[in-house]
Amino acid sequence: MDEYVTFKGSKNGLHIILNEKATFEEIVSRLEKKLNSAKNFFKGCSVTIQHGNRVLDEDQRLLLEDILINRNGITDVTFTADSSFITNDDTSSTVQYQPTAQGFNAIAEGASKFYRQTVRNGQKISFDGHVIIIGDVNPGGEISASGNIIVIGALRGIAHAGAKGDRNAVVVAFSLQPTQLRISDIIARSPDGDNTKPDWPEIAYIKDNALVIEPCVFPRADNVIKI
Amino acid sequence: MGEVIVVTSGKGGVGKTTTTANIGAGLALMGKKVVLVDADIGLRNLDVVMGLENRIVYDLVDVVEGVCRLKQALIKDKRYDSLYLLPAAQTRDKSAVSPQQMQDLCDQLKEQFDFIIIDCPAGIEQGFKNAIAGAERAIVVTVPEVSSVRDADRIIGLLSAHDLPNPQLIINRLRIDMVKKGDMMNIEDTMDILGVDLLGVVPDDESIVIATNKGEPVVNDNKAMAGQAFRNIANRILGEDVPFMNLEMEESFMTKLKNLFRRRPRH
Repeated sequence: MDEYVTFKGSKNGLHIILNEKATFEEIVSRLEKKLNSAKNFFKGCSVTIQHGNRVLDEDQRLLLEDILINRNGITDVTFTADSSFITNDDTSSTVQYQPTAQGFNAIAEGASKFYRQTVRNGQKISFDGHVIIIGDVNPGGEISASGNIIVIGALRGIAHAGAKGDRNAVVVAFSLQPTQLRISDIIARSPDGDNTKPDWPEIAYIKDNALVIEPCVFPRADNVIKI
Repeated sequence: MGEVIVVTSGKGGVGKTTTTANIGAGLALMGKKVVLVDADIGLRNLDVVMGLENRIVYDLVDVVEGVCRLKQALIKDKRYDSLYLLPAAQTRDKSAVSPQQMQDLCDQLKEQFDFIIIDCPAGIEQGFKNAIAGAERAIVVTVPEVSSVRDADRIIGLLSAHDLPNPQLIINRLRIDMVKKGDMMNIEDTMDILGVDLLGVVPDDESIVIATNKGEPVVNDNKAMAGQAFRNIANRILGEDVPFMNLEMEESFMTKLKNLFRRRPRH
């Protein structure tokens, strides 16, 4: 069943769409009920009443204005017969994704370089942005990025993320066994004589001025690492 | 003032890097202040053999180009306090350094160290010229194979053309059992051709392979024959008169032991 009164928000203010079939009394009582349930919420708004084909006489208009302006603090009311909901801004209804502060704040976006090859001994990939290697980085190979470094493979060489000083940069690899890991100005080296290989992806980032490595768990409701 | 020694061979794979690492560690063992310089830019290995690869931040090229101070690029060994490594750059090539720059670098290192040992790259091109530029003394490494001896001969000629007229020779990876059977060149044959002073003979020893893969010099290993050979070489570099060890005796004892087991009757 259609609502007698429909509220819609847009960049230009509030639109109140009146059902053409309902009686005026029904509309007024439903409008008052809705406004009362959201006391003061619409204060300072400007409202467009879309009455469609319904003809509003002078008394009815004054009554609606009285309800909206005098009793609910709305600043101005206009009436229109246009029944389409108009917004000037298409994105007004889409919600912008905002990374939360949960976990840590990595660099979320930026220019990226993809490299689909094994980075071998003596090769160096440098990029002002993020670097994604689809392949391995062998010992003696070096990746330097001002942003994050992602290795879809084994990282056995040297990785320097946040090379221009960004401490929020991270290094992620399917198999993280670097000879040396650098993020911004912090350098960590692999332990001597430790050959343990993790079987899961890992992530390295800076926490309290130290480089920490953690298993990189795929996002689940209760276990989210935000990248 | 320290002494600059270059370890070279011409041919690749004869054990220059292993020799450099072990002579350096051997001298450090005797209390000398030693720095190993990897001149093999673009194909560095000395850091791996020493097990110091993960400590490299700056390298020789950074020092030469003034990116960092010399002290920042020197890596202290994890076993010996008086042993240091100056690693080569890996993402560059030999042309990144000039002979004059190498000489200046050696002069700088001489003020701080008793011995500067340079690991020379294989070949006779720019890398070789860089490596010998600052050297005052040369050690030529060869294995008892005709091709290696041929290259060693060529290198000895080039060294004397560069004011290094009396290099000393290390014969590496000698297998006394093969020599006895006449399957391998013996020490005398080799010395005959090359006509230089013999600094030492290092037997073929699987403990070298084990030590290298672990990133540890074999001089650490008191049981390994090769370890003893390198300790002797280090002592000879210091001017001591150490008799050549009898590789044969040790070998024949081992053979005896092997034969003993082999001959045990099975019932």
